[in-house]
Amino acid sequence: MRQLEGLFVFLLGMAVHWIWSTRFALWGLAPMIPLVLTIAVASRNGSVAGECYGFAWGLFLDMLGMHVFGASALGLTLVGYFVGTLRRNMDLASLPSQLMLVAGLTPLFLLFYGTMGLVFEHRFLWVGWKLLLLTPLCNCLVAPFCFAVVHRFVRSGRTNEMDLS
Amino acid sequence: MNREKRVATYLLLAFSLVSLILLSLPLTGKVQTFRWVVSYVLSPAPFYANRAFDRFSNIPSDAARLISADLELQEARRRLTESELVRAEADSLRLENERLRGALGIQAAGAKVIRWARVMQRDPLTWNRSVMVDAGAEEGVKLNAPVLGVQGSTVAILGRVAELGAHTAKVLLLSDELSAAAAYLPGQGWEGLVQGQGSARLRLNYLPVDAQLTVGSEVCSSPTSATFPANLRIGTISKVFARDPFLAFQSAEVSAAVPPSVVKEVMILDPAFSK
Repeated sequence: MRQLEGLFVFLLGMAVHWIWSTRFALWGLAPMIPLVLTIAVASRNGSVAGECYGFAWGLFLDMLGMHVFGASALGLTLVGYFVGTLRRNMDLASLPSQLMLVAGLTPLFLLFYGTMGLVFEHRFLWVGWKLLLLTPLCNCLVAPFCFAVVHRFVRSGRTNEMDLS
Repeated sequence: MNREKRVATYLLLAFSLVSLILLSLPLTGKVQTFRWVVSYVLSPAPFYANRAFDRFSNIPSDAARLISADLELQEARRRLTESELVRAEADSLRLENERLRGALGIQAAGAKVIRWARVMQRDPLTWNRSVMVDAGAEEGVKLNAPVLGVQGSTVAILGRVAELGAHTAKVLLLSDELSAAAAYLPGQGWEGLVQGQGSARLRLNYLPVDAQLTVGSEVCSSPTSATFPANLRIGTISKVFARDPFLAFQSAEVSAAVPPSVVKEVMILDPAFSK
């Protein structure tokens, strides 16, 4: 049952990101649902779950683009690890800290993606100032819903209990 | 170090290694196969979600269309009867045209439309670089097929098919840094190369230094283009860059006739037109 719920969240994340970025993007702006969900999963279930979901959602994002296949997978894996590690030292259950984390990690992820372009394609994959400055805001707006979905469907596992002990 | 932390570290190393292999060796057979497997496994979920969304969002308009459909059907039947006469006339003209072309040794111009497709995916991360459309190999779409964007009554070059799935295709936009097309200014006849910049605007390079460029001039695909049919609209000149005394050409900025960010429907042509 737990696995099915996890699969549901994974598929839901892909479908919502796809539909939102294609149908409801305003002036090229849409939240990065997989990034916010990865942060939510890692902050609730720890690094292992964060990395697994992050890697899979990253592959999905890479599949959509035509440049640097693997960059989003690597970026979201690192986000999952970082957030999972951070939750030992920070209270990630409160909304302000979740929003702060999302707002801080979004531009870092976009810059990381651009840098991957610089390293592997010899040009920085610049997303533009508009996206760099406003995507964190979009992500913060959807963050409470993403955290609620993860809280409802991705249950804490045995590893989580061990982690907290 | 507890078990969770150890597992997390091993996973991080494994996933990072896989990602770096994918990034470093994008053209090797195994990575390409992995990429196809990922596309094959992950594509259906958003594809069917998109279809379901379409179905639900179309219900009100479909109901309205159903009501007016009967009236239109009556009118269409009447016109169909009339069109039989026109079709017979057109057939005889086409045969006459082919006969005359054969006699003069002129080849038929223009590209063959394979099909219309809708933009089914557009991601902010790749906004001016690529879009995915809902037609693929099984619908007859071929690799490198020219793709035209349609906005209202304007039809203009959008890009070319760069990746092909069974029912989807990825279109590399002309605004991507990897894209370019031979172009000319129909009014003046100057020829250059339109190149993508990864942003909404294109750049027209290699224009002769003595070319008199004006903002608003139309830019069309050149007959020398290997990918696109001739005389298709690309856009209009929006800015003329100052001449660089060290360069043997001048450049201009082109605003696309059909901006990739608003296009919803595309026309995919047969890539064999130029052969």
